[in-house]
Amino acid sequence: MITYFFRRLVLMVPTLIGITLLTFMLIRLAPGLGAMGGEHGRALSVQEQNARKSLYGLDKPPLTAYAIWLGHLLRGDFGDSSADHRPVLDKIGERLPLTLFLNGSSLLLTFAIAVPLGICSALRRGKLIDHSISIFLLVLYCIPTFVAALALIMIVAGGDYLNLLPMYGVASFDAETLSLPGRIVDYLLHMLLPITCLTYLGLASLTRYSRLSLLDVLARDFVRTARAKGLNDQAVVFRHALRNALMPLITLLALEIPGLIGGSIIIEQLFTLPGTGHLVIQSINNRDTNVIMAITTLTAILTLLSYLAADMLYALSDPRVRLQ
Amino acid sequence: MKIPYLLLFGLILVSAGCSRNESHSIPVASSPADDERVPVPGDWITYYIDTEPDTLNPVLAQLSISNTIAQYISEPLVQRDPQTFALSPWLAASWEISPDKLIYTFHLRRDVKWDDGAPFTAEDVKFTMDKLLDPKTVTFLQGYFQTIKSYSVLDPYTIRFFATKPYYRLLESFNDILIIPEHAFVKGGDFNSDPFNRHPIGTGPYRFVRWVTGSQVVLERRDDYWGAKAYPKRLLFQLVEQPSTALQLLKKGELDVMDGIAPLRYQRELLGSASMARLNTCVYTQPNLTWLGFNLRRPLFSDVRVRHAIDLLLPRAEMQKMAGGPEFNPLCTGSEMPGTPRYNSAVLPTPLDPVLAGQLLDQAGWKLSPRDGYRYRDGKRLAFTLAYETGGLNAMEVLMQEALQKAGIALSLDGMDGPRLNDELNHWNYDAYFWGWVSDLDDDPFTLWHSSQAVIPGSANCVGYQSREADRLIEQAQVEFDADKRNALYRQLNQVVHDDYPACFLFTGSTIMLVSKRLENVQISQIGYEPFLAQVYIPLSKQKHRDP
Repeated sequence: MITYFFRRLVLMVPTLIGITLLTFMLIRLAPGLGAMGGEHGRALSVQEQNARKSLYGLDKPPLTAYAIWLGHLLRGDFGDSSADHRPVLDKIGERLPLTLFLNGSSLLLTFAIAVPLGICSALRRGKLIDHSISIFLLVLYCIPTFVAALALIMIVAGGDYLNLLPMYGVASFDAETLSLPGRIVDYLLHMLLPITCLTYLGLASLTRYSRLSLLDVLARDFVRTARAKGLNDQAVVFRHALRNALMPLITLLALEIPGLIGGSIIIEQLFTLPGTGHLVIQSINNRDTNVIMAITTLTAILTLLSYLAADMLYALSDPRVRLQ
Repeated sequence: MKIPYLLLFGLILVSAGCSRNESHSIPVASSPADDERVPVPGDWITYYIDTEPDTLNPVLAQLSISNTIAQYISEPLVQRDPQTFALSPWLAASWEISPDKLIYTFHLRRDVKWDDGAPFTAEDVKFTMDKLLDPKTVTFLQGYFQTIKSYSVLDPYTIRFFATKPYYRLLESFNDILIIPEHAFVKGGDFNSDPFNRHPIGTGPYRFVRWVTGSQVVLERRDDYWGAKAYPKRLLFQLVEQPSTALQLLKKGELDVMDGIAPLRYQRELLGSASMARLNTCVYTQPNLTWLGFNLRRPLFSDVRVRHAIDLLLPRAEMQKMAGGPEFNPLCTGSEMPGTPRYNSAVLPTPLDPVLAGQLLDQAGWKLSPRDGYRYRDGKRLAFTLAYETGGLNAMEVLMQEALQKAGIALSLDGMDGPRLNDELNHWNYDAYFWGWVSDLDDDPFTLWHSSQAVIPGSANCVGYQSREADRLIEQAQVEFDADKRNALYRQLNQVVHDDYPACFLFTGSTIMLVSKRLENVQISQIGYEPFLAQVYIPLSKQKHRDP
């Protein structure tokens, strides 16, 4: 298995080069790169344009520019942002904690809610409660996030109806006048609506997964054996069936990890949360090549690693799986 | 913790709303401090911004929002009077211009200090110019100073500039550039990425406190400011990405000032709502014009009759209504703002006249085909593509498409994002475009309409307009230092350009700003660019924030 691990690790290198090359070419070939920031109405002279092109390496052919970018990357240098000349890693670093917190807590929350619901559904298969859960989650699943977010903002946080919760940002703008516990409560209150919006959408599919997975296991022979030998229902379900049923979910969890840093663009935008998703949109609008490349590369690395982790976890949790 | 606080917040707003009426009916024997008409210092103002500033270094600023904030920290040598628009002394106490208009000598104020205590001197002005004109500096301001040959510091409070030729706008340019302190920058470091750019030091009424990325920029009043001290203790520039979210915040009372509200949004979502009782409306016009520009390099548009015909076909009235109506978006006939002395009111907006348009197109050889209802010449259909920026409704483009189609012109729509549209215009890679043009007050139309600019890719004259008559007027105006005579020349230019139809001039934009009624003495000039927040005050009874 260790050889397998290292072979997969080595194979990641060409994949990564492929991903970054493709992204780099897409950005370079996309129109609008020559405009480079600024607002319409302030024209640049030819000399100024050329100076800027050479500053950002746009005067070089795309492949050469990619090679230069890759060279810097190997030295751990993601370059500077063209929007404000700050190191790209600084810009990502200051935004990552928020996105990790948001997506991490919503991921945990999704699992914490969906798995019990799935178990409940599976154990009462075909009953009223099973159908109610299914229909309720399906309805939630059908509401687009931006609709839910805007509706929540308007109803519980806006100035027109209930004015209970903060609706934007990570802290009240006068948070510095609050005490430390006050600030923590303030922060959590600000996170309430975004996390709700990020969580509800994932509930439906995960509940169905865990329901199906448990039903699948409950139909197996060993469950019948367990029941036949007289074990009570609780022990059968929770000690024997559930463990096996949760295994596929581990893989699902691992596959969700890259999404943690990618950020949720819509929610961050709607609630004005300064996370990485927010930065992605800003950088695309500014044609900020280095920032886009850095976020893509980091997400790609994390995706590849988590796929590998999912496979390894699968092998670890199921002795029948052999990795060659 | 937060909920009771918010409830309290709501109560304060309600009582503030009442106290105004009560103060009229119940005479209160109050101390002067309670009198709402006496300006008092204190409290914070929250100001909505929709984009993150790129830098707070005014030399590098590429976004106008950066300047909006930076102008409270940094100051220019000369300042425009918000009422008369005349240039008046600021960091420069006085200046002399030689009779041949080639030498400008500025005498600086001696009582100005940077907010870190260091004195402000001519070396700082020189440093600002050095950095501004350095080819390595990424700035949009170099174009303003192309006529400067050299400059030298005569003594710590005097600096002299030498120009290559007389140019009326040179003095004006010293209003565009805010002075930065030499001592605050890393010696020999990279100017574009200097730490100063996120932690500026200035001479202005406010000092920089902090910049929380993606969230807010906080400034604090300087008690040692050399000029009239500001009233609000703090200015908080709050970033809100979504205008709809910002509007809710405004209704909640968390934002004090929201600028840049589109007239349509104002009419639909604000007028008549209960929250308007807490808000004052300010409308000001920005030199912001919308037009449909032709690429004159295309053979189709080399015929002025075709351009004129298209101009006659555009449904101006409906488009104007869509933008916000005549009240907010007056029609215009050129690149100047209606109502300014440079605008020629004798030039009338083109009326809707499909009959005349049809005759012009017939004369130009484009005949209606009974087969499909389009016009053809030599077997070629009269068709072109309109490039425009997507976002919003984009209903005006469709309206134009329908109007032209009725007259037998096939208009294809090509929507794109801002950076791409900019790029396509810079490379003349378009047939026609529909976009706005933002200019400065008293701007020089040289880059926009002069023939020499038509051959430079990336210049503002992207339509490729060339006219001897226009060139003559532009060149004459550049050396005309008498504002009235210069304005007369620009009025002539207005007529000349309009009659050549390089573009179909449509309408101007207004900006609506909503201001909480807590704020007193809100004075916005017609163009609305000046740092007006410093002179706004909040009566004691309406103050909300204690100092941290």
